[in-house]
Amino acid sequence: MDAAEAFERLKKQGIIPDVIACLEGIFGPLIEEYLSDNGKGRGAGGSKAFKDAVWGMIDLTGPEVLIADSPPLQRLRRVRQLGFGYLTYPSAGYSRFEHTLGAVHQTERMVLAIRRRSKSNLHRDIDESLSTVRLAALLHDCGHMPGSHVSERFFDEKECPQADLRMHAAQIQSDLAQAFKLPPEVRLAECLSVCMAAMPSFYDLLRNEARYEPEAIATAALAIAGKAAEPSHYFVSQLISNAIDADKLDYMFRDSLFTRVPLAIDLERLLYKLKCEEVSASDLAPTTSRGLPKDSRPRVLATDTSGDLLAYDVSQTREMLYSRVYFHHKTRAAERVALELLGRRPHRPEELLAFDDGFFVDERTPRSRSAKKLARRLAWRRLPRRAFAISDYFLDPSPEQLRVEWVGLDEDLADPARRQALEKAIEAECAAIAKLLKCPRPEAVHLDPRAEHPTPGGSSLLVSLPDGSVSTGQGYAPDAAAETQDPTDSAHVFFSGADAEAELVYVAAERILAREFDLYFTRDAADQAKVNWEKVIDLKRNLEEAHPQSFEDYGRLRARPLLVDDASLDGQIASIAKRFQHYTTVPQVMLTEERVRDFLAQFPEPLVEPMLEALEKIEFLDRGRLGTDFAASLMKQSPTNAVFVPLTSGYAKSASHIPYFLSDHRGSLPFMSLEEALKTDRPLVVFDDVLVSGTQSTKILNTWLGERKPPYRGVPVLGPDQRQALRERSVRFHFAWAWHQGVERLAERQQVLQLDAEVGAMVIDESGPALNGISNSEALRAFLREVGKSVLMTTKGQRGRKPWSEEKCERSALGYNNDERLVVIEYNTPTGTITPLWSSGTFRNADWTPLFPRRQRSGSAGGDAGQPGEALAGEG
Amino acid sequence: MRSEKFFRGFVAALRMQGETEIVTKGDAHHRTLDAVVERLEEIRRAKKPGAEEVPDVLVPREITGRYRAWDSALVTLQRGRLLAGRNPTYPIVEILFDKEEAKRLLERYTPEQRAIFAELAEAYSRQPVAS
Repeated sequence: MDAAEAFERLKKQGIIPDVIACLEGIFGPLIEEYLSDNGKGRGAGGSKAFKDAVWGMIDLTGPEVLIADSPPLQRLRRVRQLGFGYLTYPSAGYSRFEHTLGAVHQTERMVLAIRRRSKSNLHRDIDESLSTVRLAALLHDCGHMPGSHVSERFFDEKECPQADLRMHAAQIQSDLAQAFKLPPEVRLAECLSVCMAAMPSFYDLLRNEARYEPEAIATAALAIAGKAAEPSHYFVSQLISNAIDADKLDYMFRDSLFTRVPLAIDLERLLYKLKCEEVSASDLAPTTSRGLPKDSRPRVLATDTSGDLLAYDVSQTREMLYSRVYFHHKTRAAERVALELLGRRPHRPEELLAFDDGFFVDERTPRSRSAKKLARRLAWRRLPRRAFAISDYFLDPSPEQLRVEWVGLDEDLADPARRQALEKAIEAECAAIAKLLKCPRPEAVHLDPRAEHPTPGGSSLLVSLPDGSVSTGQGYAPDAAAETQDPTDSAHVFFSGADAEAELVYVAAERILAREFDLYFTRDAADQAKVNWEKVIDLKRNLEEAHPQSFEDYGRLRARPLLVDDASLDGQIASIAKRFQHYTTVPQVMLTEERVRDFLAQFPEPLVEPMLEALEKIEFLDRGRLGTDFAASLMKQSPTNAVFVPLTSGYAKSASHIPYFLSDHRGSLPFMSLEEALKTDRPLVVFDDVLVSGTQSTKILNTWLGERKPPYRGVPVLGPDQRQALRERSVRFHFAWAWHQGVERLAERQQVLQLDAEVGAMVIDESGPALNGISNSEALRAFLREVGKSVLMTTKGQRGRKPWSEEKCERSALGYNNDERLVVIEYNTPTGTITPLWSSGTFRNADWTPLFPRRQRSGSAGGDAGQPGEALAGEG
Repeated sequence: MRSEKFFRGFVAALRMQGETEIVTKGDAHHRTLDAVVERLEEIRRAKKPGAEEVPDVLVPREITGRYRAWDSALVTLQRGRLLAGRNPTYPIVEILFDKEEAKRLLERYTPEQRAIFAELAEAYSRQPVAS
């Protein structure tokens, strides 16, 4: 490609002529004024030396001085290199003009370095390239808009709220790419720098005053965009736009000096390792070499294998600068304000070149009242502060389980309209919470998407190998290793307001992210944003206290009630844990003090103590009660020659557990199945651990006697002779614990079935609803009812072939049949016991953890199966 | 469509094709992408619906022939655990999600876009170096 031809093509490409015309309108009169002061047509004066804080003395030739003194370059004195970085690092306020001089200086160092190590046949070309690459370095930044990269950011798809502006900016990039046959990824500022060079008055200055040849100007312009005019000059563009180029070798060191963020780059050695290499076209990538004549000898910037490692150091160090300096959260906060300000007074990119950094802070500029407020924030450094760090590292549970949800959030954060909607939602949530708590709310919430790190794979430094061949290097591997994100690389929720409002914004943001994306975050999201977690917890507690329903949809976000971990409850909790310590149904569940506290933490603060009272009231049938007391009771209540028949049978059925416990008793009890027992002529004692409503036992009885169709599962149907034998036999039903309603029901049923049976128990519970007598019982009951219904709706209401209806779940919320019992057996919990004590499920969008999970039925995943009315402990 | 979003859909389509990793050693992933670019050109020439939404970033770099946006996507998609590189040498980048998740990811695109992704992924998978 001929450079001048490409440059001329650019001047006619798409909207580029309009852009150039606009720039001419801004700079034309200024350049004319400058030249008239300088004496138009007089040409360049003498050389000059500048004393630079980083590199010491920097020489510019006469023509370069003429360009450096011109308005497009002098404007750069008022454009800070690091944009709003000086609001984070006070000394980092140096200008793009200083950097430009440094880049020219580094260009020369690089050229001299590669000349020394290149073959002598290349020296002439390298020497001749010097003035062109210096010109490129001098011009490379003159297209920077106010605030440097923040203005570029404004025109990005992620930021720009106005589609026409965004498309205009993209069109500039696309037109330049098309003219130069490049990928459309040249940065907007670089495109504008190239357009500046094409602007008639400036081009005239370069050509006729500074006396650069058209080919040199065009080559410099192409190099700024990262394009080589021809393969023999690949190295020229590489010196200006590459993983290691004059630009980076100045700004990285300059930024490091002024921020005192140290660099780990061995610059001297890196320069020592650079050379220009003439290679065969086939040494280049297939896509590149495809377009080159086979016998062509491209000249490229190269290094050796150890130099490649030094280049990797540059990638790594640059990444560190991005994390520590360029993407510092305070700088990002300032940029957030600047971006809003840019949105209030929209200009096209080329129009923005009429301004310098004063655009953002000049209070005399006519603006709307709200824009003035934003400008004052920047001028007086009243910047938004962080309230929430959004990173996949902080997801709960781990991001591996939330990939698709995370993509949803990530995409919304990258979309200006959807991001704005989220900001409004968080602001509204802040207002609602502030109203309930009667506290101030922030002035505004700003969402900042995660920052775009530099693109890997940009390196085009070739590696010359000992055998004389050339490789394109490791490419992705070292770049990616350097640039893989660190955990602190996050999007942010910022807010404008008092520091004390940080917790409010955190809580509001947390709720909106949960509501909109079903995403929850660990406390790292607050810690990373330097939000006081203790205060967040306090605010949530106050909110729940002020408005108990405020966590209706956000159960997972509730704070742990203060009382749960209060030392005043230590004794009670320790005693409860000790009492229930042998409860064992699911191997991984240990009934410890921590489990009791975690269970209580699910209750609102005012209900913690009442629930504790309820736990104390539980009838716990442990080994002692069943093995010793119940055995003694069975012996006492039974005829001496009686045989003992378990009411239920099969694995996980309660009566099949009892003989194990009863074996603790010294005297042996003759157990046998019903069928076996009927073969004898001895009185029968049918036993089980608990009898709650009597539903299950009557079903069993009905099945035995052929009165139930279909038969109750796993229960034998007796033949006519067996039924007759049963009816003629003395039978006693005996339970360890029984509720009087169950006793009455079973007694009635056996009469109807014409049995000669008695119903008794070691303990007969004559009480009414179990929660009666507990403090704040109505509120506790209402809460437990709500929990019970919800956990059943989210388990049984969604499972199986016949999911439970809402009404059925409601009917079992306080234990099946709403029996409202408080009885637990060492190896299981009866379903007549209050449901939230044994059923898992979801309550207010949070997992509900029961204190006594039920024994799992063989082959079932849940531990809370059964049907209402099947209120015996063994049912499960 | 943003470049990152394009590559997310493309990688999901690769997973649907049965790919579980992207070989990056020696720039293999760029050479396999060459075939994708060729297929994309055919799709564009055929003016298939959705083709106009494919971002114009599939242009290789001069000299190295690398696709910067592709390299960038391989890094950024490591957020949210869609991909995982094996530091520090990165001979391959693993696709961490299964076909079911790939399907859910692709549901975020229009049917036309999904059809294009499938074609591109097929072109990629045909390359011997792809896995």
